[in-house]
Amino acid sequence: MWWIHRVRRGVNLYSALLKTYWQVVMEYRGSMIMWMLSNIMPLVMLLVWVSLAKSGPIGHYDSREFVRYYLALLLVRQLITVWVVWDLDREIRLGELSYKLLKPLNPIHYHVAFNLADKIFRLFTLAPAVFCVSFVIPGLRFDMSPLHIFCFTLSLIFAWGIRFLSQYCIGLLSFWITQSLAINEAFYAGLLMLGGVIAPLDLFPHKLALIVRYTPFRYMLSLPVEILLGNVPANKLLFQLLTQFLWLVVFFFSYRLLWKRGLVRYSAVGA
Amino acid sequence: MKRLMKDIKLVGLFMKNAVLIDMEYRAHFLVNTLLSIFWLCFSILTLKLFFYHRTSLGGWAYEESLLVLGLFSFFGSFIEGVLEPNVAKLVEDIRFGNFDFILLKPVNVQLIGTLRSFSMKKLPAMFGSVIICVYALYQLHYMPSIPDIALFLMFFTSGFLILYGLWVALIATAFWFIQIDSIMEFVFAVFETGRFPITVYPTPLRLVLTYIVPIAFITTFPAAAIIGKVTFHHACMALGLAGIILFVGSCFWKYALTRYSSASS
Repeated sequence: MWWIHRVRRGVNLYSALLKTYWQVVMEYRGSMIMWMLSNIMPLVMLLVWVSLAKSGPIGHYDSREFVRYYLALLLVRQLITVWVVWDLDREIRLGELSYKLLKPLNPIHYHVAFNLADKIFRLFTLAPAVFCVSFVIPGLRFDMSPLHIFCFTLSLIFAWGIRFLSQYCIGLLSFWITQSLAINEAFYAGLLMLGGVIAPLDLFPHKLALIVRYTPFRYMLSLPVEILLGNVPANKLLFQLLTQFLWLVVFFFSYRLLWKRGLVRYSAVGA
Repeated sequence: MKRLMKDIKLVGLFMKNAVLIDMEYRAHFLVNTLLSIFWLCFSILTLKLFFYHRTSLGGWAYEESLLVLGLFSFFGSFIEGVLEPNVAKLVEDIRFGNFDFILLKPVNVQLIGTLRSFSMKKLPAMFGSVIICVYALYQLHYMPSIPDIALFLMFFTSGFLILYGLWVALIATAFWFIQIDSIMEFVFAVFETGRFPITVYPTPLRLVLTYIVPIAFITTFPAAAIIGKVTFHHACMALGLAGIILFVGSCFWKYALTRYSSASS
């Protein structure tokens, strides 16, 4: 049974890596909290929409619906945060990647483990907040049926995967160009606009809304939010999750391709 | 007076240096110009989306809100191009103890600590923001009168001073925390509230953004001034506030300096 060995090796690896990175995260806990608090933009958008909704609901969103939407978005956005492009850009540009290449492990695993450690920290800090809010305001409670939670978790993991792999791909572009951070910035603007931060996607003009629904940005953020809110009808849910999975596969293969080609091109500076 | 002239000359020299350095990275400049245009379009589209559903934003028409947006991206670019590049430098100096050399120089320490480097890359964005403002005024068919322009200039100047004063206080926290990039990120996030007219926010927040973190004085009030919506009284208040913030900021900076204790030198 060769795969048992592989699984065991994977579990051992990740538990070791997670332990290490957990300590890194704990060391910077103050900064971590500040980073989490910096997530203000959705709240600004929420306030603007609520002020606009004073004179009657917009689409099917009244003030309460907006509050529900943006709180769910805040939660999901915390759990899909990725910063790997900055690390990759630095490692490739300054040649730090060379050390990692000497080890018998694909460097992506370090980044994944670091990110997971951060997500565990965020879950621990967010859980009490979510609990308090939903305890105080019953209107903000979400559907807790097992199937619903399962679908949400699945789409959240996919969303994180798409976000992580797409940013990793952009970071790998540093093998060829020096301005990969600029590409990432443009990509981030796409996430804000088409991922549902500026507005819930059904508030876009109709023709646009149709296109917007198929960009990868929607599947990084807005889909898990809509599933959590119960805004995705049951008959469309499977199709949406499949599309999301498709995007994940696309980015995974792009990553494989870029990584293989990039390594051939890589020549570190002074290392 | 002589000291002030010296300071101005010093900042001029810093600027010249920064331009020379930036000229070495032309591709970077070009990419950033494109990005700036991209972000400006992004901001306008955001505003358009709101006005797709409603005809006013907190009592402001589309073109009027565009004016606020123009000022927001102008001052935002000012932060990123003029104020922010100094943070990394100062943090590095504090970490490695190089700040010793700055303290030894016979110049204004606050100036060299907070306005030493500039980045040209945000210049196109500032230029683009001005175009947005002019376009908005043109669409409004409003020709500002001389008093309007005078009031606007008062607000505009106090906008710069308020930002700089707040920034000095903020950057001074580096003497305690050393790594302040997460604090910076938080401040940028708070500045995002200046993107829209202050009147869209609920009253408590509006009061905070007017009197405690006076972002309203940086984006909303100058915009209101140029279309003749504020009084002389407000403008004096803005200048007074700017003076207080500058004074407090620089006092805090001096206090923070006493915290500095070199490093392994």
